Amino acid sequence: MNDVLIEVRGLTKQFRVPGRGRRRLHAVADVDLDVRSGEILGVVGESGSGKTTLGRCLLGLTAPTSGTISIGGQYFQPSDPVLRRAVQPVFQDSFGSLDPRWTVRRSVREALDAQGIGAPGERDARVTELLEQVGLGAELGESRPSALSGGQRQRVGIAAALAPRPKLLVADEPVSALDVSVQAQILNLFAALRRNQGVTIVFITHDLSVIEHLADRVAVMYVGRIIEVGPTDAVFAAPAHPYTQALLAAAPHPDPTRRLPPKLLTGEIPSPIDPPSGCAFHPRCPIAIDRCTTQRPALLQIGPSRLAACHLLTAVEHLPVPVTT
Amino acid sequence: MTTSGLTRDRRLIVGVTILGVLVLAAVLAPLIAPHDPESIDSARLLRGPSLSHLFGADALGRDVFSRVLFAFRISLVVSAGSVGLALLIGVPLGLLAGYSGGWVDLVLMRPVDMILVLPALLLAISLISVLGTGSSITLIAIAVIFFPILARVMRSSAQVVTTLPFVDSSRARGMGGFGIATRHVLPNALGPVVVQAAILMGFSMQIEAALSYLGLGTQPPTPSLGLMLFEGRDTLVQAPWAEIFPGLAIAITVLAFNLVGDGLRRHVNQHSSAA
Repeated sequence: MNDVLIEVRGLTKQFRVPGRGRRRLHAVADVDLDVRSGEILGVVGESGSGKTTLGRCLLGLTAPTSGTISIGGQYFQPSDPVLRRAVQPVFQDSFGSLDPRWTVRRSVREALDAQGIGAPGERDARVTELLEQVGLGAELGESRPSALSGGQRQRVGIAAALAPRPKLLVADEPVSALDVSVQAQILNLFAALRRNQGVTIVFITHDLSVIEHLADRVAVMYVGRIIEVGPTDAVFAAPAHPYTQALLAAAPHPDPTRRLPPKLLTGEIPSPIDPPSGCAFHPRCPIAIDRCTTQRPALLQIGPSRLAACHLLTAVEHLPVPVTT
Repeated sequence: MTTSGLTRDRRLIVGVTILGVLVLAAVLAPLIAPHDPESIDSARLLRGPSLSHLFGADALGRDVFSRVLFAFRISLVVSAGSVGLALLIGVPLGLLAGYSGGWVDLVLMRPVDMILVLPALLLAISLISVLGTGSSITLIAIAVIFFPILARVMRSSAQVVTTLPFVDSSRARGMGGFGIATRHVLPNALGPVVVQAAILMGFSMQIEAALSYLGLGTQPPTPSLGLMLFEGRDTLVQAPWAEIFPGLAIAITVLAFNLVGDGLRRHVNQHSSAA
């Protein structure tokens, strides 16, 4: 359960900014992250925090500027078909993630056909099996996406992603476009897939309640960096980083007797083209000290399986466990 | 895809019906034509429309109806051939440029843009002055004018489709670039190209007529709509029918192609907005 499946080290992705000379957008900056086999890791952050770019790097759809990703100890190269099919995407837009001209069967079979997995005659049986796994009948196989509901389309997208038996699913806002009732069904499907098949899932979202419901661990991103990682329960119960505290306080809570929290987060998330010096959060941080403006805090262990990047938190030293995320 | 929207579009139906009748007439021209389009008869010079000569006779006594039928046949072959050839060059070019982007796009599209800035007729005339005259040369010259237009449409359409998530999914599934371009991008990007091709068919008809009128297209005695306009202009006052009917044939055909193009455009737009 706790073997590390994905090891991300020093991952950095910069984009050239058109018409701005040598300026670059630092979408992901020096990210270290371990994803454990069989876990659901939630990645949260505001828009522009780099969570989608991190996901695309994991999928091999965006080439990192520097840093490495390894899967099961092997260095990840998108050109390697075996490693490539080990990581599959589930996207937000269930309409756009299926070719409108392809039947459900053809979309689900795509990975099998593209990589010659299984005998051609057996692939249809596999499609039926996959559709069953995501709670769809085989009779939908001949339908086109326009004939399906949003929830059905997202299920088809998940079935297609599962076809090459991936080790990791990278789900980027997979439920944000769905009705709340359908959201719950899809989230339960992800939970069931992990439980029954041991699929590891990196779940990228801005929706904290989804993370709380689904994820074993959560990584919080801010302007391209991970600023806190830990077990979901622990982080939600006692967030360590001031940004995480503010984020959790700002989330709406289904309790009418609770008073609205004081507004902790003011201003906008800084531009990743010109990230603030030192700790990127210092301009918005209520407890920033001088050191925060000049020196970037490292991601340090602050408790059992918990890491945070803040100067005001003391690293826990001499822990019996090795320092891993 | 659904065809119900297509069959309910009135303009599209009218356009397709007109084209159907015209194409049928062109195909069956040898059977329908009451007279030999090239036979000269001094006994019926400039004779007006009658039952035996529906559209009258021209200055050489040739039957205008038969000539329009045969001329239309050639015009149709030149239009379809030139647009077909332009599609054959423009679609792969635009697909490759739009899907690949980056320097491939730059290298492929710059020469295309250079052709695009030249005035169409001027380009055709200079090509003809190099290659010679005749229907097949006209066809090639028109294809050269058209393929940059189709390549541009294909490119921009392919660019849009390439950004859709299913292309990323397909890449993650292990599909190669060629497979993605031909199986995902091409079918989804082709709609606007088909619309443009239908409209270019009518335009091609006009260019062919213009070139023939100038003596650079189809050569006499083969009948051509443009050539007939040229030949009829001296007797315009005495025998307007030698001028009116070929002119009408051009106008109606262009109209029909535009109706079809517009109808298809609405259909394509509806579907792309839904998707």
